Amino acid sequence: MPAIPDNGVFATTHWSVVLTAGDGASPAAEAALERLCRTYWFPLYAHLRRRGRGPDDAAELTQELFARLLRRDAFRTVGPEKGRFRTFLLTAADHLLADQHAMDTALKRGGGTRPVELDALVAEDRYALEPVSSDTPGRDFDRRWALVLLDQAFARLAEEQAARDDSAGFAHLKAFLAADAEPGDYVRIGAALGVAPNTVAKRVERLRERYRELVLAEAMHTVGAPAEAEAELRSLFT
Amino acid sequence: MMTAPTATVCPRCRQAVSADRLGGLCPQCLSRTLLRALLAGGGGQDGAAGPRLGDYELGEELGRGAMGAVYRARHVTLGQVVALKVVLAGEFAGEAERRRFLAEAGQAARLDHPNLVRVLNYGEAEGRQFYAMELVEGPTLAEALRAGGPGRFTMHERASLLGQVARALQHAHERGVLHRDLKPGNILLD
Repeated sequence: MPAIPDNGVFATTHWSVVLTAGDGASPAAEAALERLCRTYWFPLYAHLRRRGRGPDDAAELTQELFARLLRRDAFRTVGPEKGRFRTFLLTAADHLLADQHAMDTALKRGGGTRPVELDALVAEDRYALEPVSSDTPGRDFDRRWALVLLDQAFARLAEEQAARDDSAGFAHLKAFLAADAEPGDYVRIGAALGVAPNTVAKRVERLRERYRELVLAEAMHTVGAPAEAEAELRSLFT
Repeated sequence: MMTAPTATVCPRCRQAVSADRLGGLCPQCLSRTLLRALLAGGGGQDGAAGPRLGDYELGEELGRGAMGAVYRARHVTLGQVVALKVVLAGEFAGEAERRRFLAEAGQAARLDHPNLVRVLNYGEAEGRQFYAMELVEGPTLAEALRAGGPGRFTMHERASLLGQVARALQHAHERGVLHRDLKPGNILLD
């Protein structure tokens, strides 16, 4: 069975589509870039907060950076890294922070730029909720990035289970994505679902494998080559 | 309309977690389990497959150059294991360069000589250009020399190697193909 089944989860690698387009725009590259920006704005917002920006400034600067990306200005200043979207975004953010004039302009313009819809209020709540870390800003950014990957893949997994009409099973089994079973767990859940304990064990195994595949598929969208996805995950989660 | 996230605590590691995200699962514990699965499975063991590019399932990276990377790969329907050279994203400046790469791969695919690594397939998938070559497991001449020192080959073996390389180049030249990067690192021993 292929690690990434051909079910639309992994149709293209978004970042490689963007990189291939380079300075020139193409509808596919625009769509891919917008999707990436929409998905990965929170790590960037949190990074800017971590670098000392207030909630409003961080939201405005995040928007400014995405505006630059979508206008492809950032590709001229950073140069398309032959690497990962994560690295590219962080470099582009640091360039923006170093460019006082661009920052002043972005902040003066206020709410004038809305390239990607984001809810700054929810972002701030989410930022406040996450544990304070003693990591470096770069490592902190990576940690939040990893969380987005986990989140996206989990949402996809939940959708798949719902589409298979197995939300009830998923509600029981999802805990084992994050923890090993304790003695008696599979017996108890098997009784609740009306299946044998070893069937529960097999379903947990399949669920874990599918989740791994989905996280890998999500990571693929952010790297320049599909084969780099696993290395990306290892570097994020190690 | 989005609502503000609500907090809860992971029963295992006692970290604060959001009840609204990841189905209330703890990201730390989830990451740990995932990493274990990655290290155990890693797209290699348990018959699990790796990432895909077109009809190829990619395995370990065998090497990397300025323009692209070479992976051990398996054709998913034929089962043929190959060395797949994949051009890095955004490597080509324009359409002309992309076409030239594919034309060169096509020319190389027409070469057929016992001392040349055969090009088995070439094309594009997901916007990436690639070509599949016969997988030669042996070390490169450079590696063999590094491992064994100058005395690694007898005079007879040296002459034999040189003869094989010369015959392979002649075959390519006669068909209008120039290697342009001949060096011990590009000579494979099997």
